[in-house]
Amino acid sequence: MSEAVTAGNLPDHEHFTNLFHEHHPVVRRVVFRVLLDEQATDDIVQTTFIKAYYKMHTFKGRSKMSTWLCRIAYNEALTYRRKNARNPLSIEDVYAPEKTSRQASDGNIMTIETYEEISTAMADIPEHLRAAITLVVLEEVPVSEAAIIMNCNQATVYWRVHKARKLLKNKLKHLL
Amino acid sequence: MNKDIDKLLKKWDEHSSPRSRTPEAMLESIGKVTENMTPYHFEPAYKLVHRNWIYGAIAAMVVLSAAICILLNEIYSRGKTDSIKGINRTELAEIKKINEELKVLFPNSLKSFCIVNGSLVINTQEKADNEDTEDNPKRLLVRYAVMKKVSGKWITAAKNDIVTTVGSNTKLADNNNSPKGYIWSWRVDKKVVALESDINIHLGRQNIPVKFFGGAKLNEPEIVQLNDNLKVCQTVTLI
Repeated sequence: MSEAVTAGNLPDHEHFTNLFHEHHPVVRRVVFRVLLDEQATDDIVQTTFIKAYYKMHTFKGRSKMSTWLCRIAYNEALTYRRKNARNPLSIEDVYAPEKTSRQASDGNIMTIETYEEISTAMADIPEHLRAAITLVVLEEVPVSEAAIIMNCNQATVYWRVHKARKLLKNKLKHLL
Repeated sequence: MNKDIDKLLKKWDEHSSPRSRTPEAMLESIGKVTENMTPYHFEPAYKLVHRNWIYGAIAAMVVLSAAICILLNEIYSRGKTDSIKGINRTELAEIKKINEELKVLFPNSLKSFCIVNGSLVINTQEKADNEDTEDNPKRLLVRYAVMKKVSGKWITAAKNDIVTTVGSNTKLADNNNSPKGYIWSWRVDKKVVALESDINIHLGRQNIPVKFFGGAKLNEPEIVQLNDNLKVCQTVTLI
């Protein structure tokens, strides 16, 4: 992608479309895990790709494109959260469960109670810890890249993952 | 234990598929936005105004404000000093204090006193003619500052501070160094005192006659005698 973009120029439509299709799922997951808000997630993902469109010439290829996009998205999510700090997250509003169980793509079933319990536990931990465990454990992003996305050093990422696990274990010990 | 929690979270993650717009719908809306937006729309303002610039501007404003305050204070102080020709607040307070002490020492006989270049001359002997004092008379300080021109600059050669009573005709004590003559004053309004003075001021061996008759605005210096090398400023203030 970076080869198709010269400094100061905007990417052409085809390249940008390919980029969007390739990376938007991971960007969306990261943003959703940080915010736990479906409506806001769409807005942040959209803003992320619009910014990426205009800032593509600043991408130097020193990290993966997905890392660069996730970093923009993570910062946007944090900015959104700061602006909406007075509106605390309501887990009922976020998940709005309509069924008694949720079925994964592989057919595994998780009861809605368990799902909500884990969701609540995730919502309860600080967002930087949630982002760390999302990137490292759920998205399996290397710690070095997670550090770039979250603009901190690798030791901090390790510590955040450790802290997030510890908090979640305490909250969910009866499920383990 | 870590594997257990990771496994649980992954299972939870597989079941959570947040509802969202389709990628095509989102791409379409992104396309609409980028069509109508300039490339500089997302140029953040904080990049254009560097944080250090803000700190610098604040520091400059503080320094500038301090400089203005000092300057204004200087001008104000200078104005104050000029307006009463060398009587600054400290001097005035000192004269008030002397006045209070002398009133205690000579409760019935103190008519006036003079401070000439730091020397005090008390007038308790001479009775004023045609004395017409008010019920609660105020003390009046009349300063005659004698200024001489030295190397093109005016310097204060002598200060004669005469403290008398408003509404009285005061004959000044006959002393070698203090001014001789009389001062007659009466209050015209809040800002003006009518003054008639006919005195001789000594400056070394030189005798400088000063005559004044008219309204003297309080705290405003007035040149009552001027020639090429010498001038006398009269300033009247209530104490």
